[in-house]
Amino acid sequence: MTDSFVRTALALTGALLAWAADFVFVYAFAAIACERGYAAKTVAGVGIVPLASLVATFAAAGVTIRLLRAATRGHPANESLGVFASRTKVAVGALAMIAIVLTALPALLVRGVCA
Amino acid sequence: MSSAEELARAMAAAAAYVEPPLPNPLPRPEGELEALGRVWQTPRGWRIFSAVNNTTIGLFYIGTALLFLVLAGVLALLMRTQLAVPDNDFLGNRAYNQIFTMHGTVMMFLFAVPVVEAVAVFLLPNMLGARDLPFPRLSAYAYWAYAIGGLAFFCTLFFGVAPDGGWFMYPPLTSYTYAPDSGADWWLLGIGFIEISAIAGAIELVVGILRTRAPGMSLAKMPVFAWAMLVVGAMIVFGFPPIILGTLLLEIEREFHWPFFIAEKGGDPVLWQHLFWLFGHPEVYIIFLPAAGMVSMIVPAMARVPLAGYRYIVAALLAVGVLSMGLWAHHMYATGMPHLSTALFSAASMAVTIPTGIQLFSWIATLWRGEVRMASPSWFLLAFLATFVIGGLTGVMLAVVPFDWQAHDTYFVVAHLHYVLIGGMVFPLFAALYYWAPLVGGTPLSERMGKWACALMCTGFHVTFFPMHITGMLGMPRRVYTYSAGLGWDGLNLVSTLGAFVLAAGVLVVLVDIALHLRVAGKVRANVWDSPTLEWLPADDYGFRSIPRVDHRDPLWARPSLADEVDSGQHYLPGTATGGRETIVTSAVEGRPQYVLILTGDSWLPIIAGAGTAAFFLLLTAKLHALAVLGALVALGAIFRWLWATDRGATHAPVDIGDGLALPVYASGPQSHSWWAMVVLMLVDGTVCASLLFSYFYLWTVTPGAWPPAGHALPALSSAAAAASLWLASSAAVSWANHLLGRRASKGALALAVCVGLACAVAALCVQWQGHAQTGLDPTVHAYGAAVYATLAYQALHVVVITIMGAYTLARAFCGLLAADRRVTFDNTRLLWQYTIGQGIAIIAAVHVLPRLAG
Repeated sequence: MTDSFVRTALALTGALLAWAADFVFVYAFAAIACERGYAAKTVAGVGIVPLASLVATFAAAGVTIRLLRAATRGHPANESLGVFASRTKVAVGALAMIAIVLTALPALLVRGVCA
Repeated sequence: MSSAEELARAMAAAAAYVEPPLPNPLPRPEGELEALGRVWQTPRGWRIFSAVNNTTIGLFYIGTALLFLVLAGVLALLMRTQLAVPDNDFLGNRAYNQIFTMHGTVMMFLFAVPVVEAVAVFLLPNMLGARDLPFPRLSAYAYWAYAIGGLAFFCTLFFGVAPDGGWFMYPPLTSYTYAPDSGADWWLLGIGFIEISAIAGAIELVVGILRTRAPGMSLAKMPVFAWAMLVVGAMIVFGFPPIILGTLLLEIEREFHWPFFIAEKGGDPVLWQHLFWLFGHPEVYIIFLPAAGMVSMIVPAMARVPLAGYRYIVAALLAVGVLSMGLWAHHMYATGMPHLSTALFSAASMAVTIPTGIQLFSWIATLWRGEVRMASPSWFLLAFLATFVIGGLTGVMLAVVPFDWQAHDTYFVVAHLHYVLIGGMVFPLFAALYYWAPLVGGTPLSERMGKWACALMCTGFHVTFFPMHITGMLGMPRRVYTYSAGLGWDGLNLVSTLGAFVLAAGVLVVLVDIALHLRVAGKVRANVWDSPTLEWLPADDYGFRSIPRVDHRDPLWARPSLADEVDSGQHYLPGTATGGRETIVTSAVEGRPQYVLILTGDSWLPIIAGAGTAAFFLLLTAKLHALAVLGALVALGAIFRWLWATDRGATHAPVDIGDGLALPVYASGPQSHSWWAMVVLMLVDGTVCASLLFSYFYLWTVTPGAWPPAGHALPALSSAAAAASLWLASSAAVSWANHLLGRRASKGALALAVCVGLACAVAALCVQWQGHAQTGLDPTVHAYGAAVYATLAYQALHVVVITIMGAYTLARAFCGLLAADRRVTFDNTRLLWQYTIGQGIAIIAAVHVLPRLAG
């Protein structure tokens, strides 16, 4: 596969993949913590599941912001394709950011993680 | 800038600009068109079943899918008749269970997924400006496996052996204890050929969309339907493997008593639900996104203005494709998942509504600013918009956990899913039938009948399904074959039944319209809607006379002379340059011409291979093992026979396609379309393996205490180290073979490298297997043993496959069909081989390292 396709595909979907990684991590962490009995542990008074969720959220949001900034910079060689790619990336990034925020909310709002 | 402004700017620029000459001059050489027609001519009479051209296979495919729609619809009418009045004895409970199971299964597996692939097979080549998809025989094979196997599967109803566990086949209801007869086996193995067919179709579509677009058609100019099918292809690649694995595991449990889903032996029936819905929820979007893509094509043509927000629709398609993979457990709120998990899936369910809403508002905006032609497709579009919005809103209600707990397994859910599936997919499909029908025979279907059909279908649909919201709220559970009078459900059920017959009458009108007015013609020149996209160019069996140079997203509106230019042969490749069927392979992002692909022609081999595949799965279910093996051998023989004639090398000097471009007729390595197909196949394979490892980890999390559980032991680390070393040695051997082929070394040296590599792979597998066997691990005692042996069996399957591929590659080498510059076969074998090594190492890490880390 040519580099340009892999690069283009990753650039177009990178923010969504960041959300996917965030989502899978939080889901798996919570499931394992609940099933194996670690969920009640705390770090500095904060439950490890909400804490892990917030760390993952910040990481995913950081990646998405970086991709959004990259999408709004530079002058692409192929004007038509470049404009399409940069605007699509911005739209994808915005949608991914909403999903990342929504994914973070349960960790902040849900009481009794494993109930 | 809006699309309309862009179009106006493009037209103005076109008027002011002195154009470069078209790729090929006039007059065209004498006999060029006749030769092209001869090469692509569709066989006549009974030989038409050997045709592989996308137009013929596409029509077969669409027709068969519609047949399954009718058959499953008849089953729905039987169910509604049974439920029309309380305490009815029209159908017994056993027949009712079989009928609702087959209704769901046939609708989802034999109608909904195949029909969207079918429409894509028919439309995409012309929409993209290709003469055909890159693997025509693969399309034909996918179709025949589906058609033959699907019809045989449906016939189980007539012999009383149809499955009766629901279309989701939840264990323990479907395990050997509670479903000892063969019904569940028919489902589990019968679905096998459909999975193969869907994945074959997805590979074809993904590679076709990315590599066979017309020169100049960059991703920015690609039709939205192609974008939708690209996303759907990727979703099939990642969405189908969990159900492939799930069906395998459940069938192994039923046949060999490996307890993956049996709680008292360490298994968990909820694991099945995860595997099923990891496929099942993306499946909803696999069905909906193509329909959304069709709508995005039809709306601008009907409104006579460019689509509003093209880029946002593409972004929305990508977002839905990814987000929908994270919704699977919202079907499982009632299983007792942790609160946080249910809330996560609820949040993801909310997130996916936003990109779906973007598409809806784009369509509404397009209709708003255009002058809508109120023809039959528009009627169906409006029915779609209203119905789908209602279905989407009840979906949001069901995504709210407490509401779902109340409505779970009631008729409210039945109402919701039909609003989404019929509203979101069937109405757009009928809009598409009326919109694209002129491409088949040159004339549209009857406007009058189309509008009657839409009115009947829409009315019948809402009369049937709207009351079900209320019946569900009143507590009527799904899947009951009858109910007592006086529960408040009687009148609502009767209304639903009457509505179902009105809906069926609407479908009948469409079928009569098709029978009366649809005629297949050879050459078609019928842009009856003044549509802007390439599929409306004059076309014949060969697609277009010449392959257009594309410089706009709505090429027929931006360049009104395009149809005449293409049809007179002034664009690319106006004849057959090599004397065979060809299309142009272009780069995936920018659509730059790279090489001319010589396509395979008509053949009986795909139908033989398809029949063999279907026979294998169906005869296996009937426990006719010898005949099943024969079916598999027939399928493999036919596939190898057709592969043997491919990978022909550079049989022809570079050919002039026009515009001064001389393209090679062969490519290998990452530029080759075949390499891309192999990569997509490995993504499927890797996802099956990931699903298997997910199952292994899942069983670990639900097993209390240590892992492995008490009474089980891990093999010594030395056996894992030995196996890993042998896998790496195998990898080195195949890399050595690659080096030898590049240096044009002797066939003997190549054979030695391949054989050493295979020997190392077999030895690695034996060491792994032996290590576990020596600990006394028994796959029937506990789910741990079952999971470990399942990983080893999956790896063993790969060793068998690379052994066959290695032998095939060497056979080609010794027949003089493999060389440094004719090496696609070797490259494909090497890719899968190296993947197998990676998978082997991953399995060792999971089985040996995790338990030691987790204690």
